[in-house]
Amino acid sequence: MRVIERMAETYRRSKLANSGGPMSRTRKERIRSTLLGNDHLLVRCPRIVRVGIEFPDADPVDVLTGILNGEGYASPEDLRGELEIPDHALIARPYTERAGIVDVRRDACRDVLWNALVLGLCTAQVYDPSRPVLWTQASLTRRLELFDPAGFYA
Amino acid sequence: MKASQPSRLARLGVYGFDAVEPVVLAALVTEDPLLLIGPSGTGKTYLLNSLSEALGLAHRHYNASLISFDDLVGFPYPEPDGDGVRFLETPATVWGAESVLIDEISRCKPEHQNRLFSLVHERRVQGIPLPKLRWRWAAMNPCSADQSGTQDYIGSEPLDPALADRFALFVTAPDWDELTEDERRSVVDPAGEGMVADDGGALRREIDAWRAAFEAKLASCPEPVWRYAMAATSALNAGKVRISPRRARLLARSLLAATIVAGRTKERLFRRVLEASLPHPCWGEHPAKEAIAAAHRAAWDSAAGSSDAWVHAFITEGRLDRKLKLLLDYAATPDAGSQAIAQCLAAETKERAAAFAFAIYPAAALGKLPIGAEGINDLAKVASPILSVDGEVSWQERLGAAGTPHPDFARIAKALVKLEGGRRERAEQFFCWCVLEGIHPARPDELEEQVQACVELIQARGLA
Repeated sequence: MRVIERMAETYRRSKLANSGGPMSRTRKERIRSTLLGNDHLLVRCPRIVRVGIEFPDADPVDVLTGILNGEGYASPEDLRGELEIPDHALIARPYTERAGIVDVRRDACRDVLWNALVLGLCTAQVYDPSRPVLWTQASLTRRLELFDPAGFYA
Repeated sequence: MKASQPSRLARLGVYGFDAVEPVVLAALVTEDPLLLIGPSGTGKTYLLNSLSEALGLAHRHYNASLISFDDLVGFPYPEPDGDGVRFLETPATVWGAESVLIDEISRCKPEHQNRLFSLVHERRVQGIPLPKLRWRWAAMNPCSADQSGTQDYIGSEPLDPALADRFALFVTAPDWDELTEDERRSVVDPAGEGMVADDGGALRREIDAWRAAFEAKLASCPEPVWRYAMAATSALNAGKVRISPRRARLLARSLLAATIVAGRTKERLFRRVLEASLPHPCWGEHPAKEAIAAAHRAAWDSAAGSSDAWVHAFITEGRLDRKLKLLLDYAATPDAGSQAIAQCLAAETKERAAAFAFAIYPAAALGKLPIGAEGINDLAKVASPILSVDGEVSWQERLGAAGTPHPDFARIAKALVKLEGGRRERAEQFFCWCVLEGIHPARPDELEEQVQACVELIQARGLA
């Protein structure tokens, strides 16, 4: 009995020192890095604007069309000449915060239409003022940050 | 019905080589080294000896497995004045030869291979030029890389790739199963034994005329020929069938000669010459037929001047900046650019596709590249996740150590250490993405250099 107990004790002591390989731990590290909107870099792709619209529980296209008609415009394309928007292509990045997002229930119709016009000129990745304005559920419910990529080649 | 003319080689009493006759004739025209590969008794030696007879050449036929160096050069003796060494010439020595056949070249000792190397490559022995020597031919049995097959010839060793690369063309001799009924009858004709090939000098006159045309065209090689050679070489290398720059030139020479012999540019002829230009069977490798077919297709489109020809080169080009240059120079419409981008991103490895998209996406988004909306979106899907990264990496650290960096950082640091300014910032961003994605570029410094070359090309063209 004593022999068995002694062997068990020996094993308990030794297993920490001889468990088949060097003891190690898992390290974890978070990596966050961006070339977009980072003003500390030489590669400067400044953020131009954030766009996004908060809708009530209704079809976004119907809501926007109602506001558009209420302001006296027949088509989203009519907004081009009325509202000043970025004149060249920009890179878009998804945006998940609420700051800078307009709410159709609270904000001025003109601000809502400006966001709708810009969103209508965006895909998920790019803002392109030369493309036709497309209002769809997908385009109007996006929240995007737009960056000027010209400085990428600094 | 008009009876078909016997081929030139059949007129010399050599049967079964009709399919490869243009290749053999092209080798006679270029005077570049030719190697025949085939099982024993398939007429390799017979073909080459018959050619020398028909051309009326001072011919030497050596068996590389038995040869000694004295057989080649003769017995050395000192000059009478004691200044230098002369060689005692015999009818078997190589000095006066116009054509040389080295038989069983895969069976000779490595030190003899080295001596044959200069003979095949430079028309020299012991550094002494052989001004009369025009044609260098060799023959060997098939070998395999590991000599494990039941059809392997014991003692037929894989040829040294450096020696193999000196041969311009490789002709596989047809075995019995590949002969037509008429060819079999001609082969078994007992009267053929010991016959001397004699066509009254017809082949010699043709070869001389083709050679004159060949030399005249060397100075201004027809565009389809060099285009085909360039595109085929790029496509084969991209398909992991390694082709040396030297072989690209040999291929162009063979194509030019084959075109002169045939009297026109023919697709099937080009494919046959391409297949015969691959040295890999010399060391027991057999490139995938699909890779050769794809390379030929790309090269033929390029040679034919098809409007899509540049796309093949664009997809197979190894350097990212040359890829971008092709896109800028040849994409005629945004749709053509978009299609090329889609194919390129699908064909490249993940890290190279990412590096290319990362380098050109900002310019594409600005509308400065000949790429349509679909192509820009394709680039964006790859490049956007690189422009901003946010994620977690984990690695194992020994208990005794503390504050160790992620193992990938050490590799990447080497690529970053000499970089400065915007170039360094772009590189850091790209490699952060690689670490997070678990991608390990084989040569981070090389990939970064190609990204930078793309950036510089965009800057130089005023596209940003």
